Amino acid sequence: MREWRSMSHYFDHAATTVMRPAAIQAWVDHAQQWGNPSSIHGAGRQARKVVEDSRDTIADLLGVDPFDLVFTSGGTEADNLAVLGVARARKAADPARTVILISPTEHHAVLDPALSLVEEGFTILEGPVDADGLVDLDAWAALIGEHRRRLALVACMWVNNEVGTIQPVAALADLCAAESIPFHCDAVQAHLVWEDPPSSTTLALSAHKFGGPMGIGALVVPRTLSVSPTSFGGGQERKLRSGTVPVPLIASFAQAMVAARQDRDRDLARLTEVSRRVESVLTSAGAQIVGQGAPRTPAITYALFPGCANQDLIVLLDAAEVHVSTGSACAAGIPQPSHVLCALGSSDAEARTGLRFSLGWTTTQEDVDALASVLPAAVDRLRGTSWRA
Amino acid sequence: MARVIAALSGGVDSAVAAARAVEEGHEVTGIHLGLSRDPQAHRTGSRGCCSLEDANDARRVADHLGIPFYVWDFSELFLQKVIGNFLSEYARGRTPNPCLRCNETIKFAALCDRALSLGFDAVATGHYARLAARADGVIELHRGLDLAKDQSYVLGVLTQDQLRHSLFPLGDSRKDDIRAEARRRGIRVADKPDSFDICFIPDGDTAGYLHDKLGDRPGDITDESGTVLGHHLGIVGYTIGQRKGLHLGAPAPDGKPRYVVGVDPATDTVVVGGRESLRVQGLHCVDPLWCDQTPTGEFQATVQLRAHAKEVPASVRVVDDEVWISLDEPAFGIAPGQTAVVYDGTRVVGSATIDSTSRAASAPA
Repeated sequence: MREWRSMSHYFDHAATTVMRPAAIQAWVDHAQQWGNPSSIHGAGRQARKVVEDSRDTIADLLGVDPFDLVFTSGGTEADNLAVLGVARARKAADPARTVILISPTEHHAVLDPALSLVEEGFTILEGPVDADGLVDLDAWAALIGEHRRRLALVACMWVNNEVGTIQPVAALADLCAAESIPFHCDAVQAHLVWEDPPSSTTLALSAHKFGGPMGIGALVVPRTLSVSPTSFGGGQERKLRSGTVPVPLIASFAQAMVAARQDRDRDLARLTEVSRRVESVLTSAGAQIVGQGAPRTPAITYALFPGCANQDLIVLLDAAEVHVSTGSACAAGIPQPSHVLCALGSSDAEARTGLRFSLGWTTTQEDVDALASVLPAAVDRLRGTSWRA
Repeated sequence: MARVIAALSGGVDSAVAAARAVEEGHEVTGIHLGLSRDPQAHRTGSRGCCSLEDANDARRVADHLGIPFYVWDFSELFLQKVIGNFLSEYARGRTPNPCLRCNETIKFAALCDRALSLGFDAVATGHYARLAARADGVIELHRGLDLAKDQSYVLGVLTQDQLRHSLFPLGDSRKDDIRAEARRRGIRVADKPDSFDICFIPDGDTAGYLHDKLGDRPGDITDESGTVLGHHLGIVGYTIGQRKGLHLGAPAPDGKPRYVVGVDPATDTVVVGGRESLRVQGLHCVDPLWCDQTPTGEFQATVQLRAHAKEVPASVRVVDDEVWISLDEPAFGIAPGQTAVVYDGTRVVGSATIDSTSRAASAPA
C-alpha cells in the first residue's frame, strides 16, 4: 500500500486529500480512549472535553462562537441540514417564504435537497452564472430584491468543486443580511482561499478536504437561527444532529484544521506556482482551461480536451499511475456529464471531454513531471480514435 | 502476454474467464458494460448484469483478481442498436434476438473498438465457445465443449477481424467445473444464479414490455381461411409457434392445439392454425455475416435456428447478400427475424437473419 502511494501521482485532492500526520495521530490517540461524550460519568466527561476542546479550536480558526458550530458526518450532511432545515423553518415561521435562490453550479449536496423541497411547495430559482462560472452579482441582487419577501434561503458555494471558481460570497452574504434572508455558504473546497470568511448565516465544512478524516464535517449555525432538524434521536449537537458524537474524528478534524491553517500561506504560494506549471502542461497538450476569466483556487483546474473522451483519458493516465477525475457525480459508476460544465454553457458532448486536476498539500513538482510525461501521448492516442458511445 | 479487457458482467462465467486470463499472464483490465440508462438498484428475477448490484459484483471480482476496473457507459448505443432494433423488429411482426445484436454491435464492436483504441489487444468474455487458429492464420469459431452451455450461436455474428481480438477462456470447460473453479478461487459470485431472459425486461414479461413501449394496436385473430376467431391488443404479443395465451374461448374444430402460424403487421392480423402449418423447410435469409470468407454456391451444412435449439442438416446456397437454406427435415415454429447460424461440424461458418420461410424445401436458384 505504502509503495503504491509513493509511486502514484495524485491529482484528485478535491475528491479527498492525504491526511495530515497530526490528524492521523489525533485519530489514533483518541481511538484508544473510550467514553461517550453524552455520558455523565468520568469517561464520558473526558470524551466530552476532547470534543469541546476541538470545537473551541475549530471555532477559533473560523472566527465563530464555539456554540455555533455543529458537528455533522461531513459536508453533505451539513449542506442538507442547512438547506432543508433553514428553508423549512423559515416557511414554518412565514408561509410566504417559499423561494430558494441557488446557483446552478452548486454541489449536489445543495442542489438536490433544494430540488427535493419543490414537493413541499418551494420554488427554486437558479441565479445566473457567466461562462467562467462566476455568479452575476447584479442579477443576483435584482433577484434578491424582487423576491425579498418570499425568499426562505439563498445559497452559493465559496469555491466550486469542479472548476475552482471563487464566488463573491461575502458580497452575497451582505446582500442577504440587508434583507434578513438566511444565506448558506458551502465552504467545503475553500480551505486554501480562507481569507475574509463571509458573514454567511450558515457555512458547511468537510474535514477530509484539507487533511482530516472522512466522515466528519461541521455546519456553522448561529444559535438565533431557527433550523428544523432533519434526523431525530438522542438530541446531540443542539438537537440538530442526533447520533453519538464521534470523538476521534472530531479530534482529528481539529488537528487537521490547525495544520492546514498553519501551512496555508505556504501551501497557497507553492500551489499557485505548481498550478501554473500544471496548466501549462495542459494547454501544451491542447487542452482548454475552464473559467480562466474568473478568480480561481490554484487547487482546482478543469480542462477540456477536444476530441478525447474523458473516461478514456482517465484509463490511460491511471495506467501510468496518474490519478485524475472528471469531478462529476458518479452514482452508478456511470459518470454523467458535469452539471457545472453544462451550467457554464458546455454541451453534453463537450462536458464529456473534461477532466479535473486538483492539487493538495502533498502535490510535488515530480507529480507535474509525471503528468507532463504521459498526458501528451494519451491525448494524441485518443484524438486519433473514432469510436463513439 | 497481451493487454486484455475482461468484460465482467458480475456473473460467475465472466469472473472465471477473467481469472484465467490473468493466470495466463495477460495484463487484464476489468470492464463492466453500463447498458441501462437508469439501472435498478438490485438484481430482480432472472436478470444478471444490468443492476447496480451486478456492477458491484463485477467490481468485487476485479478487486479479488487485483486488476483495474472501470464501468464503460454504452447505454446510449445499447438503446439505439439493441433496444431500438428489438422494438422495430417486433413492430414489423418479427422475432429478433437482442443478445446477438448486442454481441454484434456492443460487446465485440463498440467495446472492442474502444479497447483497441486505448491500446488493448483483445477482449475476453465468459462465453462458452472455442477459437482455433488455422495453419493459414484464420481464426475459426467452434462450439464450446459443454454442448449444454454452448454459446457459439449468439457469437455467429462475429467477423474474422472481431474473432482475432477475442478470447473465450471457458470454451474447453463445463459449467459445473466453472462453478467449482470459482469456489476454489474464492470468487464470491460462484453460486450466483445464471441469467437468462432479456436483460432490459426486468420482469421477464416481454409481451407486457412491448405493449408498454409500442402501445396497443388491436386487431383480429383469424384461422387460416380468414375467419375471425378473436381479437388482440397488438401483434407484438404474438410469436410464431406460440400456443399459450391465445384466449380463443372455443376449441379448434379438430380438437387439436392451435398455434400462432402467422403475424401480419400490415393488417394487424394474427393467424392461428394447427401444428402442421408451422412446418418450415425453406428459409430465405438476409444480412449474412461470415466468420471468414464469404462461401459461394451451394453446400451441405447444419443450421441452428434458435439459441439452444438442436441443429438441423441443411443445404445452404449463398447468392451475394442473400442466403437460401433448405432443411433436410422440417422445423416448426420458425419466425422471421430469428437468426440462422450455419455450422460445418462444430465450426461456425456464419449467420443470417431469416426474412421469410416456406413449407417447401426447394430454394430459388
